[in-house]
Amino acid sequence: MTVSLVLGEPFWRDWGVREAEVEIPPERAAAGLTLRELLALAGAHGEAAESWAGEEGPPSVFVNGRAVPGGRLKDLRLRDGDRVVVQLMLSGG
Amino acid sequence: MTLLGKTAFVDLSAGSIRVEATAEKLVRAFLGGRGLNMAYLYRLLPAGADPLGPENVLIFGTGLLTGYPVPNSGRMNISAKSPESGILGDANMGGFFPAAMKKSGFDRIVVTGRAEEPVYLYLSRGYLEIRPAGRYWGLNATAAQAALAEDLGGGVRSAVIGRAGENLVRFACVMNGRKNAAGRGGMGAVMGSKRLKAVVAAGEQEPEIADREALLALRKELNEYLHTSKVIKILGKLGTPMLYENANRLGIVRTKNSRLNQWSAALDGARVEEHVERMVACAGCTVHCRHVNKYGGEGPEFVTVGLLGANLGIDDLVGVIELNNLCNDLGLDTASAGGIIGWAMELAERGLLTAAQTDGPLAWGDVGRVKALLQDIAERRGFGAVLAESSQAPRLGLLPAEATRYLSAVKNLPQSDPIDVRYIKSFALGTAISSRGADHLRSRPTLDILQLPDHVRAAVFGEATDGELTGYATKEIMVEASETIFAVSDSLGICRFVCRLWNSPKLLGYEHFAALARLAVGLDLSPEELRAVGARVIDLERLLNAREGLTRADDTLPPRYFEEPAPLGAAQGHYIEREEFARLLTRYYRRRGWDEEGRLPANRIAELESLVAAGA
Repeated sequence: MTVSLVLGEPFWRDWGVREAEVEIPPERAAAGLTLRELLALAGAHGEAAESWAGEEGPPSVFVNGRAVPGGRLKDLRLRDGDRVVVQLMLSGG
Repeated sequence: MTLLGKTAFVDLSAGSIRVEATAEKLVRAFLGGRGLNMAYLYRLLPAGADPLGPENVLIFGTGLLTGYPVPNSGRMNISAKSPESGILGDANMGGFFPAAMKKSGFDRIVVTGRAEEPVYLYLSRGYLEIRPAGRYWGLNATAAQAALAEDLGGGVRSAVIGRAGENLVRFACVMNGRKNAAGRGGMGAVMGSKRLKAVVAAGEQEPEIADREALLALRKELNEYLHTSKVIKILGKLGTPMLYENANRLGIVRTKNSRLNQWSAALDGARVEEHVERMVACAGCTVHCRHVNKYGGEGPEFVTVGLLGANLGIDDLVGVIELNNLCNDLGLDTASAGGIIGWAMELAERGLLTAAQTDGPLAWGDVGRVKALLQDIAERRGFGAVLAESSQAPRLGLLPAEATRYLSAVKNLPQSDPIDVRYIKSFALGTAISSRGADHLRSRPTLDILQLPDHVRAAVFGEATDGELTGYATKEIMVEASETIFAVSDSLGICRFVCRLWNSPKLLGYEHFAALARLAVGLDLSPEELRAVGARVIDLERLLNAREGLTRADDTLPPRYFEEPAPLGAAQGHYIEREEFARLLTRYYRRRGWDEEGRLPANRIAELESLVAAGA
């Protein structure tokens, strides 16, 4: 199956990918993917996602526009055609 | 022993000046900056005063730690009754003037009356003079500051008004440098009404420090700590325009006067970077979030990108930057300027304004027309004179009464930022209860949208909260905690960008503030006592507004947020449900210790009034 992945600010700058169509083998989709695993499939620097998750929390993840609490992508089962957005949701400016 | 600075009382009608030591009891109760300004405003402002009359009280108040070697302590508040909202007006400003004012020997200047001819105030080494300003009257912000520096020496720092303030535009701001503005609520118009062109600070002397060695060591430690924050690093590299892309993708960017909630990627932060020369900082800042742009100014910030861009249907980024620079030079608040012009564009589209009334077509996306309108507003020419009245135009009979329902404002203050709050309910509550009107800087729980793990939220908000962005449950906890610590940082003069609960849970909190206050000025307050100061400031602001007639009915949102679901993006279909919102508001009141109508208990009122009277 295929999902679309979008890396928003500021992650696209350092993680090597801005937008990608990601092919996910069915067995991996069925088991659930961590964000790191999804990023690796997209050719992005997946390890960077884990280095981000510290005291300031994990990257914000949205699947089809809905926030994934705590960035826990593995708790979801992605489906064909899903749109995953990873970005830092700063709102104070 | 607390080190106390000076407070000057200037009566421009009489031409008199009185200087006294700031009362220690007041400092312990309200610190300085916003908090102490509110105390003086409550004590000295006659209820029902005309905001543009000589009886209004205009206060320039540095934070308790402004000008000290303390991280990001370069800020101050300018306060008065607002001519835009008709309630308390209070605007926070960074740059270099606030520290220079403290280093000229003054904590605070309280200005009343009205000068017969234009004047400026000159501050140096603990002395204050009222000087003629005829030579500077008529100049915009950049030219006025340059002329003052030329006449008084390049080291002076000035807080000035441009033509907008001179002409009493209700959303005129006070400027220092090319971009730093005390933007909200029309403090520039209050200066204009008093014929006060500028306050100029020579800034020659460092303030006395209670324990210099220990304070310098703590500053070093905290600056290093702050730079372990990824958020701080990103803001220093990219500034606030990076917020636009992510918010826009989600569908929470106010567009075309909030009729829509998503706009062009042409305004993304990555595009803004192409027009930036370098990043700079305010006095004492470790973040460096300000851009010098290639067109002779600084900025734009996210607020300005959104409100002079998306909200006006403009996708010409260079045009937006030029509008930003123009507003700053004229001395216009970019937030209200974008809000009010967007409002007029919708009124024209709806046929509530004709082309004859607006001096020609008023169409979304017309950068040239907006430029001309900004000039007309500042000079009060033609239709610009109508818009110069901001939200007050319908009350003054200049716009039809029906126009008000399309204004994105709370308590008559146009919304300060580009976020459409229909999606995130904690943001909606924060906007509704903000003491100065629709505003994000007062009370926005920015951590809600970060989707932090449950245990992190529990640690920063003090108890468990619901992480569902679109739900109403427990949002009062987030708003109350954020609002309280922001009141404290404003009273200390510390920038929001290093304040815990603003974009990151990792930044400076009460325990850091307590240590800094003790080492800088010898004020010994515990973290819990500092939190109590924040609650006191919020309560006093509530009391001030109640005295001006505000009630629970004013803690609301623009009708559109209740009645029209957001049409685009992930936020599509979301709106504010009235009954849920009313219950949330009641829970917030209870958390503050107010009654169901949002009124303070009598014993709290008595306590506050006693504190405010201290040192009188």
